[in-house]
Amino acid sequence: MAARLPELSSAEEAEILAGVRAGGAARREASDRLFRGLREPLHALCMHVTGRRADAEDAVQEVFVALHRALPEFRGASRLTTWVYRIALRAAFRARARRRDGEQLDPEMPGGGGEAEMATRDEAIRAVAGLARLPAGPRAVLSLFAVDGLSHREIADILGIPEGTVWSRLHAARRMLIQSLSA
Amino acid sequence: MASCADFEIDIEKRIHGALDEPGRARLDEHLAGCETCRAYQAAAREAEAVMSLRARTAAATVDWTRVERGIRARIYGSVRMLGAAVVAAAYMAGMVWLSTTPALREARLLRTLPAMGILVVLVAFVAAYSARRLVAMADREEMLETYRGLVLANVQWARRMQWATAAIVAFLLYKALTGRAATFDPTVYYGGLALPMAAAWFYLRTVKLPRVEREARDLGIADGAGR
Repeated sequence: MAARLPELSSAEEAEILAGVRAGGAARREASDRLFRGLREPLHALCMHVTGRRADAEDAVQEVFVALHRALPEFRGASRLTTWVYRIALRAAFRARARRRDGEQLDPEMPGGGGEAEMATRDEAIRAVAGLARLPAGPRAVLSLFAVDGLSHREIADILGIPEGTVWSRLHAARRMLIQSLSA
Repeated sequence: MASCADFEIDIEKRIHGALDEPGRARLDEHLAGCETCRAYQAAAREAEAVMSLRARTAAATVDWTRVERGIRARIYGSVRMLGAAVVAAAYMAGMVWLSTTPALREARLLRTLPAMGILVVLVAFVAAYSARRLVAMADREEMLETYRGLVLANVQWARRMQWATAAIVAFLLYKALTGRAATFDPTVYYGGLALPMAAAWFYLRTVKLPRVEREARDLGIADGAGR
């Protein structure tokens, strides 16, 4: 498993919220901290949901614009990061919907020019295309689980479902993905 | 007796570090004799690895400074929208000015002022709403269900607005072609109003509606497919 992406602790979240509510320079600093703390995992999530780098960047921008406006009124009904991931999922769905039917996903994938790398790249392209064919629900579950650093409890909170249900949703989504890849 | 489906869930739990030691032992015992579950495990691990690598490769090439610049530019988007509202109000004033006989221009312009004010307030309201729509109901319980409800409402709204704007354009064109008035030129006045309405209809028809319908289809809303 790859190294975990940066994440925010509850204490850091509280500090950020206090800074945002204080306004002025403290708000700018808190917003900057939030951006640096969440930009990579949010980009990863949006990348999986949209299937395209440009759409992922677009969605990430939308999330931080929405946060800039709504964060001072955040009521704290859930953890800040849970709320942010919910917004990110919606932004990613919308960014994907802006893409017209039949538009290409990113053709480039990681890897060098060797035979083994090319085989890995082909496999990766196939997997990404398979994921892109899934409906939004299963794609969201697989995408959230693929973000390093998110636990199943956090994912359950983000989706607003019981912890036990999150595993059955992941299993159903994985089965759909396997079926989609073998089709 | 646990089925293969139960063990597949255990495979997911193990991949994501949520399976306890006795569970791992039971799973290993089952995997030793079940080819189907071994294949599932290999597929799940491979998919996780591919997704993780892809996200990391993409994130490594992101120009975060450019992303930050984009965020700042969008934050001022509402200000630009208000600027557009003022331009629209000025356009309306121009239509009134051009279509009215010189002696009555000022009086008629004064009468049109409330309508222009309403236009600016309306656009300000839409700009404020548009800035917050992404977070609307973001803390409701079942996220995807809530979102489906919002998208369905959006599809229905866009369809109604499409027909409403088409009807308004038809009415304005009819008035532009057949209207008679002693104090102003109906062709310039109604024709001038029909133009932005036709642009709004075109936007709804070719951009907004297809987009929300794609969103609805992606979320599995059957209503998103047909018109």
